[in-house]
Amino acid sequence: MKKKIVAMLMASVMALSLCACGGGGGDAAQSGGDGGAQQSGGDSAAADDGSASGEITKLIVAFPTWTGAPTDTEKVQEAMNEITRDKLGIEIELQVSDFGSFNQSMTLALSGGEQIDIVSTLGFAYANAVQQGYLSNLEENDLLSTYGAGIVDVMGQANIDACRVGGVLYGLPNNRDMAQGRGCVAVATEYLEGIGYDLSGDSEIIRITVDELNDVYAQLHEKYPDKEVYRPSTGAMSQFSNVDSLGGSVFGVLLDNGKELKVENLFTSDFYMDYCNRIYDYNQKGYISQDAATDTTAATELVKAGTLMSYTTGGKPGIKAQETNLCGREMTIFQTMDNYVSSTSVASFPWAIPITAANPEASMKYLNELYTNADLANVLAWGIEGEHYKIGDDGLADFADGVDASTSGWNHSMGWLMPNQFLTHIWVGNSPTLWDEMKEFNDSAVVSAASGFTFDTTNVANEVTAVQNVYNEYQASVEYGFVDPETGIAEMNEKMMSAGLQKIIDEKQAQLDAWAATK
Amino acid sequence: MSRAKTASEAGGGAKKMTLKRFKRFIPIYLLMLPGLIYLFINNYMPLPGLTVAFKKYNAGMGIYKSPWVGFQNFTYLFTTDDAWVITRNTIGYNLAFIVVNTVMAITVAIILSELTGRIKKFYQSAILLPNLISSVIIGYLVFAFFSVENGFVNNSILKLFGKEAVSWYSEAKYWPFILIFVSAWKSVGYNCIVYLATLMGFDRAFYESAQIDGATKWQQIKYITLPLLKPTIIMLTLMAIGRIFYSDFGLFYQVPMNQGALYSTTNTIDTYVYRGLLQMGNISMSAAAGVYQSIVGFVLVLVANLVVRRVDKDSALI
Amino acid sequence: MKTREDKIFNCIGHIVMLLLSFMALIPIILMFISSLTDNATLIQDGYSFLPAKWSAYAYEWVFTSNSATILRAYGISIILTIIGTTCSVLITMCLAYGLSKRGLPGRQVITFLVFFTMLFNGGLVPTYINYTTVFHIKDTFFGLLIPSLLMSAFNVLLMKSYFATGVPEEILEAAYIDGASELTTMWKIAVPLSKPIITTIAMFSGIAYWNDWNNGYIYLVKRTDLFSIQNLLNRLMQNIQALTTNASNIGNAGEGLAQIPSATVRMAMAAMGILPIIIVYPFIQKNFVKGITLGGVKG
Repeated sequence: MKKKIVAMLMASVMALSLCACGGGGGDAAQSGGDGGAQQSGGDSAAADDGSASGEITKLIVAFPTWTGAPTDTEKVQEAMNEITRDKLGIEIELQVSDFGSFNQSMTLALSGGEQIDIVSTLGFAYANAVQQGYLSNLEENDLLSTYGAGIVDVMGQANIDACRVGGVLYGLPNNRDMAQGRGCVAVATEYLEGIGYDLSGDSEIIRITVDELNDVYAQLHEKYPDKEVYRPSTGAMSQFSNVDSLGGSVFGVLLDNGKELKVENLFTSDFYMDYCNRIYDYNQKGYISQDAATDTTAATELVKAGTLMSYTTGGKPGIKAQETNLCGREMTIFQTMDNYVSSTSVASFPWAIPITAANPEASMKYLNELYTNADLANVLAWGIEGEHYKIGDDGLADFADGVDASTSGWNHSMGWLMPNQFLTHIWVGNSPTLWDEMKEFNDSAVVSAASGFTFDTTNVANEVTAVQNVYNEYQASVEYGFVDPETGIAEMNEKMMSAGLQKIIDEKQAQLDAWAATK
Repeated sequence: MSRAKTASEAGGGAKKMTLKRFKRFIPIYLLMLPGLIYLFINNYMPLPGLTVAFKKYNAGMGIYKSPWVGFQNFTYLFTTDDAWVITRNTIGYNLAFIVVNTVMAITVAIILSELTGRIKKFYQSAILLPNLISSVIIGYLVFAFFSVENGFVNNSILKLFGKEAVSWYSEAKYWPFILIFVSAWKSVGYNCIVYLATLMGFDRAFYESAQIDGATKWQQIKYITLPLLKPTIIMLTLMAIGRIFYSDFGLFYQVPMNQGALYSTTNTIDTYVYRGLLQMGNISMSAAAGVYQSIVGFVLVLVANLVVRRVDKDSALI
Repeated sequence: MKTREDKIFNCIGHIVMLLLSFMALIPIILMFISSLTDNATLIQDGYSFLPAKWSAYAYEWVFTSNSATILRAYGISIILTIIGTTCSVLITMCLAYGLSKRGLPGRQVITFLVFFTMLFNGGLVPTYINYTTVFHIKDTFFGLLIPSLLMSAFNVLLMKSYFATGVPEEILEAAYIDGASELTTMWKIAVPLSKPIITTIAMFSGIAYWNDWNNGYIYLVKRTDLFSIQNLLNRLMQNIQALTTNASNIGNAGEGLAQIPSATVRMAMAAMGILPIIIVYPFIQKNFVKGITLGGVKG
């Protein structure tokens, strides 16, 4: 007995010291490897690199990917640092989170005062982050005009102004598909062929009317009664509408593509009733799975598994290749509405400099480089040439020899999140002129009259939370056609009204008027 | 009794004596130090952070420098439906858990105490196993049963009876039953062991003489077993009532899978605090709900403990 | 001598218990079966005890194509549980022994200070700030080991009352008079006499460490190599939820969902999360039952 206890004690003491060593050792190895542990950022970086090239500023860049940091994050980080170390005297550390935890880890890190120098606001809601005071003013001390002139050139002043909240600039838009092809669905081509739909014609996106689409669905359902015809999603309603959801929330919107600056209640509009009726009709006819409201399987997975035929998507150049790739089947894209730049699409997830940034000038310099330096942008988007990707004869990028989508150490498929996607290589399977088409697409789209208006939720924060709760409760049942819209919408609207929806609408209108007056 | 006596002796002793005692106990204090330091770090150091409940949080200024707003966060919390809903859910579920789990645990314990043989061990092991499974995995298991299209319940059970599939994860009304069921699944085995142990400690002579007098099994249970179990039942129930303001975070957070449509029947104070903080970023409001929970919870625990002390001093926590 | 009534009672008792045992085990069995189901079959036919098509794909995925992540997570879980339990039991025992010591000056006050921590805490953000800015445990193994789990006031009080009631004061006093120091008395007399409660606390704490998914979610950001198995499972679930609820704001969310491992793989990972518990269970069960009985009266 005695021996046992002594042994246990010894073991635990050893374990303690081991784990102390283990932890410390791990850190040391890490800081040796990439030139700085994250907590003691400044000091150790200076110690490591000071001798090499004088003053090196160490920045922490945080963004999410769908499933967390790719395996080669440190390699890519080093490759990026090689480009900027001598040129700017800046090194970065990539802090890549999985999408689900990004909001939480940023909230905790910033409220804990941890150093974060550049952050993407994808998943870390921009408006919310501004409201909680996590982001810093990018024009303070002429930060943007002094160090970020290249960004303004690339993005254009109009796009930059679109990111202002209450007149203050907290974020920089990223270059991607700003417009959105509204009213798009992707349908697996084989089923269309099965019903004898004429697919001749070479346009990437086939334009049809909603009635024609309903007709296609009816035929699909008749021919394939066992398969789910259509799967709605939380974004489907906005996607299938011509409403401009001011400030990113559908509580108080501009109807009719935002031609007039009149804020209205979406939930009492004819459009919303029509939309819900259409989906309700789909549901009644058995087009929609009873599982739709809760099943978390991706629609693309369902198409891949052969149980689903179509789902909503956003139209843009390259969409056919993207969806085909995701579904593992050839997909056909139908569009029933216009291409549209809403007031919020530019400012959906800008890049920002948090208040805990150690050196905002360096952050801005680095951002400027990300927007303008093709080499740097390529490494961030696609990794290291020869290791993660290669350039084919046609000038398009593809996985390097010996790696594929699942074995590549840097395959985050978040190119559209990066500051300037248009600088990077075009991936194989896309049109070689994809970026030009994208620019054309952005430029030719209908632009909301409120484009550039950003809603400051400070005064109605509590109402927004309360109304959002109501919406969370009802959205799936109403918009996926599980309840009769006549009763469902009325009930939801009533609850939203008592939660303060009208106050939000009034506040939006007031801010919109004030914004319009200064234009 | 004796405890109080020794304490008063120590207090009343001569100064020299106390010093000597103190010296004798120095090694004991040293032993206690790691644990006390841990509690200081883990529980006491963050305590000033509670003040954020009385502030308007601003990240730029940090928790400690944000401006005071008095009870504004509380006022808002109680003007919305939220405070009512989360309080109702927390207390309602706990009451249901207490009743269902106690009744089931006692029933199972009585049955088990009458059975013999190797299979009894098996029963006990089987019903205790769920208690060891993490709430994340329980969330996965529940989903396997209640997923609308793929779930076992809709796909096999309801289909068998020719019933329509139910979309479990979007209809709040089913969740009180599901959660009570899951809670029972998880904890009946655990609770029953305490009762079983108490039962095994009873004097069999009571039962033998009752049998001789011709008492039926039911009469034995009603007039012997249950009255003998009464102190244990009262004690366990009182302790549970003391913690009625706290909920099993894992159960309420993982099992309903964070579905907005279910909030009206699945949101408890603990999940509200967590969600308010990390999904809405509303630090002040979430802290206000936390303070509300701590204070009411504190009072309840103290009261329950006081009552327990009255009933049976040795069972009281302090 | 059994009466007819006894027999009926026994019979009903067996039926009820069989039913309950069955219900307790069935979800776990379903999980194992669905982890061995073909993924397409699962999506098409749903979870079932008799799948139309079996497949070991999920385990192949876990053990070959993604073994680096998952087996490492397994290792972390095991190491964490061992180290965590050892440390936890030691400091709990030491503190509890002190609290049980009659005549220890300040005992009441310290007991209250321990008790108090069960009721008030500073909340997540202040706790996080404390641990990350003062103690720098973010992205270290300590982030998994220390916060909340290392010692629970409840366990301390439980052990304290065992020491106070299960170890006769006279024996301790006698040993002390014989010249043994307080430490020797504790190690040689109190601890051996308290073996049941010590094993109980060890089990409670071991299970808590094995099942913990929260610390890793909060304190690990960059060090994905420190994820435990519960942590991976939790993150998968959180990612699925985040992607489905945010799909409205992000056109490409579907792409993200497509990268999440399929339902059968998730079930296989969950099965692996339970497996060690099932393996260890027969060995610890007896002590566990004893332990619950000891702790039971405390709630």
